[in-house]
Amino acid sequence: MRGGARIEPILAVDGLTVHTKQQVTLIEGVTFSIQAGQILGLVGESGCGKTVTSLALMRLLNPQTTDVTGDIRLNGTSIQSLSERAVRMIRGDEIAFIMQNPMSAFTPVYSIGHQMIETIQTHTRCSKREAKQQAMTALEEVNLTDAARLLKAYPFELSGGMLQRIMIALAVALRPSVLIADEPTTALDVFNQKTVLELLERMRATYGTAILLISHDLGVIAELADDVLVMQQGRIVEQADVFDLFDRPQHPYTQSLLAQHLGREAFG
Amino acid sequence: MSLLQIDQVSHVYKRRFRPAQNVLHDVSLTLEAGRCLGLLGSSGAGKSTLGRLLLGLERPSSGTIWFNGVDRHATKRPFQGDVQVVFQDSFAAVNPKLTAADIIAEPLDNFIRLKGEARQQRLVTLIEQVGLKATDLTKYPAQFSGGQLQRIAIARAIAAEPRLIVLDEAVSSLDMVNKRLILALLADLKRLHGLTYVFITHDIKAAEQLCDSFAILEQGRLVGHYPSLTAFDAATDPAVERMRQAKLAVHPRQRTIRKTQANKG
Amino acid sequence: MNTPLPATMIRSRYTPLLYLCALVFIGMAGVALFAPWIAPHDPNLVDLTQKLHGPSSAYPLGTDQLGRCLLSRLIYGARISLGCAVLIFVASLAIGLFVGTLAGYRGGWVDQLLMRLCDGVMAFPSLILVLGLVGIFGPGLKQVIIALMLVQWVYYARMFRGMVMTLKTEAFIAAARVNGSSSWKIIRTHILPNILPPLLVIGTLEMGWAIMDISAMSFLGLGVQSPTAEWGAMIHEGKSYIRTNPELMIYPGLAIMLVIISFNLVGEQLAERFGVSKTMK
Repeated sequence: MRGGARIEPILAVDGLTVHTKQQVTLIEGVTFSIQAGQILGLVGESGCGKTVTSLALMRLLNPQTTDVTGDIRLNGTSIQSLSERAVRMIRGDEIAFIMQNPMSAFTPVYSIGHQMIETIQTHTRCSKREAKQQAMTALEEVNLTDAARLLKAYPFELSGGMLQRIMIALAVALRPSVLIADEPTTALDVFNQKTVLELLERMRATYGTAILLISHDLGVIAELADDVLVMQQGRIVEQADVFDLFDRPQHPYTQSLLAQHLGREAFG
Repeated sequence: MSLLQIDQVSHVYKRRFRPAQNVLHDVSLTLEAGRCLGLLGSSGAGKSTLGRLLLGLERPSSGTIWFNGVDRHATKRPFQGDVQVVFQDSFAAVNPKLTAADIIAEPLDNFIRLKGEARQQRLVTLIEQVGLKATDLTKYPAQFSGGQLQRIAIARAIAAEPRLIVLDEAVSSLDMVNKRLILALLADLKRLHGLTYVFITHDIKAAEQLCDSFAILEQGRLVGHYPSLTAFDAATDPAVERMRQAKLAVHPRQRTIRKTQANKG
Repeated sequence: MNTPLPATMIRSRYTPLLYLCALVFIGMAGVALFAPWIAPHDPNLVDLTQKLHGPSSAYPLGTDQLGRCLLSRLIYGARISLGCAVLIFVASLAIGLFVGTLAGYRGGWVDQLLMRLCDGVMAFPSLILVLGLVGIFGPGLKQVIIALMLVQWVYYARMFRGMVMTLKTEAFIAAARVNGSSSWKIIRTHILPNILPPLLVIGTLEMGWAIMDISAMSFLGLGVQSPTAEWGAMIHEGKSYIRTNPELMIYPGLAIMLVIISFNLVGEQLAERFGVSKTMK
C-alpha cells in the first residue's frame, strides 16, 4: 500500500471461490481489498474469471447452480449473509456496476430520463422532480451538455460511447462507495475510450469512489490503476503496484502478457 | 486494373420524421488485389456504411463501386460469394441456433454446392485452417469463446473462396492475446489464399499490423489516404494526429489521465 | 466481447408461487383431458328431484337448478375453456406469424398495408369487436372462436413484426445475405428458430385472456349454448339464483379466476426467464 496510515478498506474480499454444482472451479481464493479513492485493476484474458468475480461481488450468481464461498466485506459488513432485499438495496447504493455493453443496460422501450429517474428514486427515496434534477446534474458532471434533450432520448438513438457516459452519470448520481467497471471501454472506439477513462478518474478524484477496473487491455490499466491483480484461469497469480508490475513482472504469465503488450507497441 | 475501385461514392440515410443523414461524401479509393486497406476513423465516421456498400447490403446514393471491373450494384444479385465479411461481435454474427458446421456450410451450400463426403472434408479443412479442431464442428456458438467464434466467422468468410473480405472491426472486441492471434491468422490466410482485405477499424495499432495502405474517414469524408505504412507513420496532418493522441498509454509512466507517479524507484 | 455465461448461472427469481401455478396449470389440463373418468356424473344429466342441493357425498359441490352435478359441470367446462383457448391460440398465432414475418421482413408498402390493417382492428377494444363479429355471425361457440381468432392474430402479427425487424438488423442476418442465402432460407433457418421460444410466454398469457373472452361471451349468452357445460355459461345460468344459491356462480367464477391468475403468473415468470435468455444471444 502506498504511504500513510493503513486505512480500513471499503471492499475487502477474502478467499472468494466459485464452483459450479458440477464441481467445476470458476474462480478460486480471490483475495484483495480496495480503499476509498483507489483504483484496483483486474487484468486477464477473456474467460479467466473476471466477469464471474464481478458477478459474485454483486451477488448476482445463481445460488442454484453455483456455490460461492469466501468473505466479501463492504464497509466492514459481510454481504454474504444479507437477505436478497438488502443486497438489492446495496447494488446501486453502495456498489455500482458498469458493464461492457451499455446498450444492454438500458431497456429500449423507455426514455433515458425515465430509466435514470426510476433508478435514482429506487435508491434515494426522493421526489420525481428531485430525481430529475439529480439526473440532470449528473449528466452535466460527465460533460454531457443538453441534458434535457438527452433525458427525452431513447437508448437506440444514442451511440455506445454516449450510453456508456450516461451509465457513468447514473453511477455518479447514486454516489456508490465502490464502482465495478467491467470492461468499460472494450466496446468503444479509441476516442470514446479515453473520455470514459477520464470520467472514471474524475469520479474517483471528486467523490473518493473506490474502483475495481476490470479489463483485458493493459493500456487501460496503465492509464488508471494504482494496483493490479493479474488473473489466470480463475486465480490471482500476481498482485503488485502498477509501476512495479510493468517494470518488474514476477509471474511468468504476467511477463508473457506484458511482452505481448509492449511487443506490439515496438511493432507499431 | 484495380480489384476494387470506389468512385465518388456518397450515401444518404433517409430517416422518418428527421432530416436525412449524409453519411458518406464523395469518397474515392482504389485497392489492388492482394493488398490490405485500413479504413480508419471514429465511430460514426461512415466506415461501416462504406463496408456495407462494398458488401452489397446497401446501394450507394450516388457514385459507383467497381469490383473486378463490374459495377457492384448494377446486377440484380450482388451476392456472389466473391466479397465476404467478418463482423466485430462474433456472437451477434452467427445464428445461436446453428452448429459451427451449419454456420461454415452456409456459403459453401449456396455457392459451391459440395455433397456428402467432399462437403464434410471441406468443412474439416476450413475449421482446421482457422486453428480449431474437426470435433468443434458439432458445437453451438454458446460453447465457444469470443476468440474461437471469431475463427468460425473467418472460416465462413473464406469458405466460398472470395476475392475480397471486409473486416468490420473484426478484432476490436477481442482481448489482447486473441487480437494478436487473429491478426496473425488473417495475415496467414491472406498469403495462403491471395486474399484482399478492407480492414475497418478505429484501432490504429491493429491497422498498422495488418494493412499496407491507410484511409482515414472523418464525418463521412476521406481526409487522408496513405499508400504505405511509412507514409502513414510520417503523416502529420491533424486527423492522424488526433488518432495517435487517442491512443492509451503503453506504460504507466506515460499515463496522462491519472496524474499519480511511482513513489518508489 | 464477453463470453456469454450459461443462462442458469445468472440468478433468477423462481418462487414457490410459480411451482404452485404450474401445478394448477397442469392439474387443469389433466382434468380437462380426463374429464369422463374424473367427473362423478354426466354433466348434462337432469334430475329435478335433486335440484339446488348442497354438497353431499354423491354431489361434492352440490347441484344446480336442474339437479345437475356442479362438480361434473365444472370439470367438463374446463374442457371447453382450455380446448378452445388452445385452438384460438394456435390459429391466431399461425395467421399472426405469417403476416408479421411477411411485414417485418419485406418492409415498405407491404408492411404499411398490413400494419394499417392491424391498426384498424386494434383501434377497437377487442371485446367489442368480438361482440360485433358474433352479432354478424350469430351466437354459438364456433362463431365466437372464429371471431376471437379474427381479432387475436393482430396482436401476434404486431409482435412478430417487431421481432423480425429487430432480428433483421442483427449481424448474422447481414452475414447470411452476404453468404448468398435467399430470403426464404433466411426466414426459415435464421429468423423462425429465433422467434419461436418467446411463444411459450405469450402463449400462456394469451390463453388466459382467451378463456376470459370465451367465458364472457358465454355469460352474455352469445357463446356456448345450454345445456353444454362451460364456466361462463354456468355463471349466466346461475345468475337467477344469486340470492338463494350464490355458489352456482361462485364455483365457476373461482375456476375462471384460478386459471387466469395461474396462466398470468406462469407467463410472467417465463417472460422474466426469457428476458434473461434474450440477452444470452
